[in-house]
Amino acid sequence: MLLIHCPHCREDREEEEYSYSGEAHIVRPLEPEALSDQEWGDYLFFRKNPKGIHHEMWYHAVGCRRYFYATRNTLSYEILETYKVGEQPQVSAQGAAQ
Amino acid sequence: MPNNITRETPLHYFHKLSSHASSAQSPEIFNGQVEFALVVKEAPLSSFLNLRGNGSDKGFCSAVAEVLGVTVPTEPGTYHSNKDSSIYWLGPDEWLLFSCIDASNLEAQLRKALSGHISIVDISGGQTLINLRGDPCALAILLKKSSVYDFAAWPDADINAGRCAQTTFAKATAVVTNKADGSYDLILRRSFADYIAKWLLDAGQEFGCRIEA
Amino acid sequence: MSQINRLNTGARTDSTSRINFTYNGKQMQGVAGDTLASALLANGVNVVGRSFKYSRPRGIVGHGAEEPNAIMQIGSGAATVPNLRATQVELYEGLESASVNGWPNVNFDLMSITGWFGRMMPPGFYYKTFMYPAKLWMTYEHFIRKAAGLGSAPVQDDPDSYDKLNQHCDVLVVGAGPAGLVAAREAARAGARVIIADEQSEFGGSLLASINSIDGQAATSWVDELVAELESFSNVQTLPRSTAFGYYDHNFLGILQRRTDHLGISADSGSRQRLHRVRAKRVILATGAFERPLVFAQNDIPGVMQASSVSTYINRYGVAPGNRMILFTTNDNAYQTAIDWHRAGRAVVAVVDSRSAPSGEIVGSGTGNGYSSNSRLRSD
Repeated sequence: MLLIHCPHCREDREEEEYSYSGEAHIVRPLEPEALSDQEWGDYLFFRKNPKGIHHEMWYHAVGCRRYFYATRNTLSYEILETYKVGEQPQVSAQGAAQ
Repeated sequence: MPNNITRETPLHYFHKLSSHASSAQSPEIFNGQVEFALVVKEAPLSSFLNLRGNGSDKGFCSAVAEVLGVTVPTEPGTYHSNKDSSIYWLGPDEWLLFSCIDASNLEAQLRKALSGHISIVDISGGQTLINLRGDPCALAILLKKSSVYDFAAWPDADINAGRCAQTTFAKATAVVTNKADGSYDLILRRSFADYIAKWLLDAGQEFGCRIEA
Repeated sequence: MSQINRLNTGARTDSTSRINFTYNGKQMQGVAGDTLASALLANGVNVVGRSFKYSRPRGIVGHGAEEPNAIMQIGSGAATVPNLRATQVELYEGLESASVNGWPNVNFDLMSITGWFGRMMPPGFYYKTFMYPAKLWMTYEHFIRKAAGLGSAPVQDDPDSYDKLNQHCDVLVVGAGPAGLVAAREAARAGARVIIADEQSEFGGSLLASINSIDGQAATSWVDELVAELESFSNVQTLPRSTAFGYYDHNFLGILQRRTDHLGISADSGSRQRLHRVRAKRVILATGAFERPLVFAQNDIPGVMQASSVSTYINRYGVAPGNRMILFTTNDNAYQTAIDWHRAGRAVVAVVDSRSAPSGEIVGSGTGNGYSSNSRLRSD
């Protein structure tokens, strides 16, 4: 059971209040019809699934009912930061590797 | 609304169970106790409105304050109240209004006072408020049994302000708030009210739990 | 049966307060503060179980969670509990206990004849040998279960209720021995919200069986004072009889509290056991250590016991598990057991030390305390 800080409620809340919503920062193509099948398939189905630092979306389903982003280490389950939609992460895999 | 329609609170029948203990399904819950450390009481029929808007807009906040006489809480997890009404923070742009003013009347007043990108929804039919009071230790354990939230970390409430949290409660959800008298208010969905009331009686059984009409 | 091994010196038992219980249908008496294991030892019970397959007799070797042999069926009827360690079962008036293996009984076991033919039973001879033909499995299983000695689960509905609490704290201390108690006290004095849990019936850990002194007072009274201070804090929750069983992500721990198991087989009111789901900011694991038993031929026969357990039974429970002792050790620490045994008025026949020249302080103090240096055997 993770303990996740909600950037809207500004509190640490139990994992059971949240639901996981997959990889963060996926940008919808502006012109889907201009994409090849391969590109459209990549956008729809293919995800990074990294070992280590991962940016992901969470939904505070039972609390404030808002989406937000979290940077989580998929190996240790450590949550390095949470931030609001529209903001950029402070921690990244590239930054951590340096 | 025609006058011959009877409106009842979701738990209107619950206190009758305690006075007719022999017919209750679980008599030990209701009459097995002599001492009662906990008291559950449902609020009378009230108005609940869901309000959305921009909390950093001074015009929006002052308009709401003018109608209700209560300032809009912008600090997460807090509420403000006066004798008639309360405003609970639900999200960064969402509040729950609880009031004894008639819902349609209140909604009309708010619509008149507010403008721009806002939303007001009358959800009175879908909610109810339960007050939980009693021995502080028993209350603390009852809440620990029911929710993963750390209510013990809250500071004491003032007469017109306190903390609130929307969180899991038993296997349902509730908005839980603390009050200046040490009691807690739970705001529940109507459809879960019966389940949660029974849960409270069961969880509070070890201390003695009484329903008050 | 009388309590032939009972001493009147147990620090945590009250020999004036008698408790009646039964073991394999026999009426026995223990005293307040006993575990089932210490009461059985006081009554001179040597064999408490049988080994798997060869049915070798087994006695009590430990005094806590590490006990491998004294596995008991407690109570009867709907609330019966199989497979509890006698070392962890607190005695209460009317407790019913039975060994889970041995047939017809633990003292005379028909299965032990397999031991005589041991050479003829290959190591691969195990239960799957009996799998075929499939329709006979139910017949085989009946006897195999008996041979395995697994106790019997109740068949009626559980009469008890169980509940759970979601707890939050700044510091969770697991284990209330000397280290855990002091850690909890320091955290509590600093104003932190503290939960301290220990699986035993009372706090103190190894100090409950210690005859040493701390800060000029007896270890047990030092414990009593510290526990009283902890209980006086409103920001401290003390959880005796509570086993921390799991340490999960982000300092989330599960603790099982046995609330009424020491009072009777079933709870009169309220929940029998309670699950604490603890979310802690900091966790201190002060769980202590088990003694590692020495390995030698026939070390499983009844009468072989850990040195720390012997001391615990004498000092904490006031039970001397036997009359004549040979102490086998690889370190100085076990010499305390020889001293305790001697103080209990029993004979230390010999001390066997695997080291060539043990010379610690406590080794010397043993010399003037009942056994002479020439009765000390050396393995070299």
